[in-house]
Amino acid sequence: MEILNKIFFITLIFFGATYFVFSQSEINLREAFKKSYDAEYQLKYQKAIDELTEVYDASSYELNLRLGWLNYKNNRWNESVTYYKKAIAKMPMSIEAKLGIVNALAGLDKWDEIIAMYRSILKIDPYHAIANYRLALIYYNRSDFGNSWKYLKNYINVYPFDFDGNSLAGWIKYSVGKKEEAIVFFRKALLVNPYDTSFNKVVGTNK
Amino acid sequence: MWKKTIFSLAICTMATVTNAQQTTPVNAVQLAFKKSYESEYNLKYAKAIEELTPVYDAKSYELNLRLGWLNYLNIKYVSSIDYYKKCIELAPKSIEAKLGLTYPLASLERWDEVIVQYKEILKLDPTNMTANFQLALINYNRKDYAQALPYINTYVTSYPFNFEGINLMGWIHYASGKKDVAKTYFQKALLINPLSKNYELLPEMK
Repeated sequence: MEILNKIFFITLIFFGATYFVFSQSEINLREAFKKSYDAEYQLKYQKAIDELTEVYDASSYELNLRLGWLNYKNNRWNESVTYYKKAIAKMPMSIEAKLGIVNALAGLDKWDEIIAMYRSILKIDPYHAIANYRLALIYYNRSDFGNSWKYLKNYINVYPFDFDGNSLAGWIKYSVGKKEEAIVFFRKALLVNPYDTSFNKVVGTNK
Repeated sequence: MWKKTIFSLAICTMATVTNAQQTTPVNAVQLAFKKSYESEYNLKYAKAIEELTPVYDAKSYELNLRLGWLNYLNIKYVSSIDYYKKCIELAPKSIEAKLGLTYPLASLERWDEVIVQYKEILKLDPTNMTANFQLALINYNRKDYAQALPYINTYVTSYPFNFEGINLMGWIHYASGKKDVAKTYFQKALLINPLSKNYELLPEMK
């Protein structure tokens, strides 16, 4: 009986200590994030990164995501990519981490990797607005109008009254010589934003 | 043969021209939209609606969408619903119109119809952020936690560091009696917003 009491007492101490350590580490982590946000709001990105160094845990999605973002803001794009990749490895279905990494990849002009990332978002969410629109835009800038239209079609089908979508649709059609179709899209875009002047040379100033 | 073809083409062209003359000129529609936006920005919603009346065309997706929105702002929910429904008929894949329709439906507390619209969005776009979150929230408010869970799971899987998602996930677990699991989510939520006071009164978080 005495042995049982001892075991019970030791177990109680062990779990109590574990709970305390767990709670304390949670409090420290929260405090580090708070300080990091405070530094970020003051545009002190390096300080915001430093605040997280002591509590850094390579297996934490949240820490890697935050450090990916802060390193991007701090123009440390390679470091940013590394952290975001760790976040993605931890949570492969995370769209937010994939959207985060493209900012840093764009800073490094790694457009093929950006395309791969947006495509991986579309595997999770085929109608993802940002991924479809930006893929369309990248291909448009590469003068690959076939691929550009493929992605833009998905975007404007679900958001038919969106200025950016109609504008890009117009430019794609215009670039492939379908001027009349282009004008239809430009006019739709002008219904969304009547103050826009970017189509004047095509639509005319009297619109 | 050629004469017949030319005659048919001429008739066809004349019909098109006549039709074009009967149709409101495009720039009149654009001008009406411009005036309508100006009234909206001045919070004059009835006037914003009136600006579009002379150019209204029941087959125009854009006009119906805009009138759906303006009637919603003008607290004419039934009219708003009618316009949004016309939009959806014209563009059945439009997520923006379905999202728009949920506003007047929610104002009229027609929650079952709101649910139908969100589920329609998910048929097109199973990971749609708004539809998943709102369906989770509606089911949570109905205390149907089992129904709420799959929607919030989808949301949080795609956006694991989003306060709203993690917060709701925590409350769904808490309400289901899984307080330990809830605590994990509340702790994550506090990493995103350390100033949140949402959980202060919970004994589990002290």
